[in-house]
Amino acid sequence: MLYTFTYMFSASELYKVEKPSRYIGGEYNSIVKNWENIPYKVALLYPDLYEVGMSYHGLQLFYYKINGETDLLAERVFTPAPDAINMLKEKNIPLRSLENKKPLSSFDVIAVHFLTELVATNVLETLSLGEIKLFSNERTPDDPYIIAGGPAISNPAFFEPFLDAIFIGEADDIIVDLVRFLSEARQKHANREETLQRLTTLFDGIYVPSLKNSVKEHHVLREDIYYPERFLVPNVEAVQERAVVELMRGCTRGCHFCHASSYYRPVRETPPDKVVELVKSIKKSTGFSEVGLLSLSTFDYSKLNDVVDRLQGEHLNMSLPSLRLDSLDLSLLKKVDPTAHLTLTIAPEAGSDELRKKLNKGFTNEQILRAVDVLSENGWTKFKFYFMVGLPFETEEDVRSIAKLLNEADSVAFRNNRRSRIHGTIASFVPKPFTPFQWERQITPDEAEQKYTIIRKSLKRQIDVSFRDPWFSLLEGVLSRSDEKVSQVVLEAWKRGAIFDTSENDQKRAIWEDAWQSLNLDPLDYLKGRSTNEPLPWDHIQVGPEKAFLETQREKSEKGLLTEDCRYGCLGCGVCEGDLWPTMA
Amino acid sequence: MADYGLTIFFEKTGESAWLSYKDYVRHIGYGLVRAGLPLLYTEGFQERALLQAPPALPLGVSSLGEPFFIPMNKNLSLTANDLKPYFLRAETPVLVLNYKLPHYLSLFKTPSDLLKLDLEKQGLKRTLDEQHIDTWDVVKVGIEMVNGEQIDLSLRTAD
Repeated sequence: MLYTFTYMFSASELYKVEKPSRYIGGEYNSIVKNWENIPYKVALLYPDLYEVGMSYHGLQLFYYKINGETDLLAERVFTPAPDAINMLKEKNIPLRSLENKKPLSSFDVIAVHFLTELVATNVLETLSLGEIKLFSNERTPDDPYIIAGGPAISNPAFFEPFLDAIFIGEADDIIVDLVRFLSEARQKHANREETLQRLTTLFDGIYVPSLKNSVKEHHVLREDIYYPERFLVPNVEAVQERAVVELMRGCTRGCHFCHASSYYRPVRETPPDKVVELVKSIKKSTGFSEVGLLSLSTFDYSKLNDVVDRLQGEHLNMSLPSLRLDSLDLSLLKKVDPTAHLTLTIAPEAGSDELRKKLNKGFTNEQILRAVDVLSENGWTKFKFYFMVGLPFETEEDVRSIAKLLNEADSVAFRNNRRSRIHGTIASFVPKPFTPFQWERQITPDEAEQKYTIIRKSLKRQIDVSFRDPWFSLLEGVLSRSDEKVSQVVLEAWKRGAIFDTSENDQKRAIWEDAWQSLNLDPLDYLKGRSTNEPLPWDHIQVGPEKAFLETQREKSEKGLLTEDCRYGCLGCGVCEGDLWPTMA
Repeated sequence: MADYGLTIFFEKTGESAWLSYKDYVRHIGYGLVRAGLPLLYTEGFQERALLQAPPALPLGVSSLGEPFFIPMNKNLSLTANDLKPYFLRAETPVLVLNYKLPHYLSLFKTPSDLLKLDLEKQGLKRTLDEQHIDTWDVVKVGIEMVNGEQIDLSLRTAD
């Protein structure tokens, strides 16, 4: 009755690692194909812990899309936790996939998901554990092709030497043919340079670091977006364990600091019938009791009322991420999610109306306080606020106004409900490439600390505020606007032990500081403002709007002029062409 | 609490032996929803299907049948085979009873002996440590109820 199977670890080894079920696979809805019978094989590498990666919708999307093809096989690989890494190294065990438990090096293609720049050292560690040659130029025709994609690698300079190719944009309609092409090349032992050269001519959105080719982001039409109808049920409870249905891709609001707004243009709403069908089918195939309706600005989805009404009575907890106050609908919120009585998350970003306008966020403090008033009167007890300091055009008064707004919100909420709690999260602004703020100066960690102190001193004692370590904002900023020299720092930091840099601590900071010093580079040099005339390290890549449009937006920001929602009139940003236009439900 | 309910025995073998008990219970809950059973739900903000899980097993211990009580508002007649497609092989339902089990002792097969333990009162992990037995060498093979009735799970397959 008992049956045996093979793990990456033996039972006695598994027993010694934390959460061993991270490493065994076999989840409900996982697909284990016959390794010998499938010609083309890709490993989907998510460079973080199992429970983090299993929350990522994109991983499930590619997993089912690729495994839906009879000649392809996709298997998952995550970065093991530090204790398991030590075990692998100690016992000399190569990292294996979760499905067929095959070493990473036995796949034709390894597709790396970059959702944040701070996973760079995790990628190196994972490839190294999989016995993959780290540098692209060291790989032979027998080695797997390492490709990467995701918003955080849209300026790939900090990671170029380690990748064979980078996919810029959305790969729903390309991934299958891309994997076939590269797998075939590997199996035929084709010349790698020629293969990669051909790749750039055959597919849109391909950037090959060794060729330094110019590339334009690839977008998919709404009808080509792939919607998985089932989900893997994680062994270890995922960070966000729920069925995710893409309500819409893209956002029309165009906040000037927002990279996703550039990367995922234009808006493509999923038809409501499709959303309802997907929610029901994922619930049926997983048993999940929570559904996340994924979008960058949920209340902008034109048929939200319709979708919510049709999902009532399904024993489902719905969560709506990314709510904007200027489109908040209280009656809908009450209907959608009874748990909203617990928490409402608002991202004012700036404390003053003037500065918020310069970010292209049109709502005011008055609207925020009115929302807190109405919601706290209606039973909401927790209000989370997200702010940034060091924004372009920010004054000291703007910084003080963050504390002032939090204090006022606390007074309003407490007046209506004595159990109300206000929580603020404050981080240092990171200018991202391909946004209107890509030329802006990023403040130093010392300056950020000074601003944090101003806020701390003006806050009421009972308000709970967490401040992001500004040093890690610096690291994120340096990587996202990096040039090629930074890739050497990444390598050096990894060699010195940097890993899991998304969790902040002083030890990691010291490792990175040593790495910069050893290469005689100063991270502060990468924080400086850049002139709009000056060439940027990512100029050969075009993501989202054209550069001229970004410049115009930056000028409007300086003048405090808002840009309209592009659903109500084309702004000429240069993204839409042919059949690609904002598509409403 | 509901008037009716089912006790369903699920395997915890293979991969599932390495699941934390919390994750195992979570999986069983999902499977019951997938099977479309007329479950009862908690009435809090976050609706959860009601079920009563047995005492936890240490990590690595396999079981040929962990009895979960699923309260319901009506009598239901089904077999373990009806439920099989909705669960992992490592969590296969092996036996369905249409009543709630009284207090029982768990029977474990170890490399050296057969252990009989009241898991509510006596920890399995400590017992195994005292006898220097590795948890992955131990399998729960049956239960013995207070009235002397025994369910030998090692003889059972899905009916």
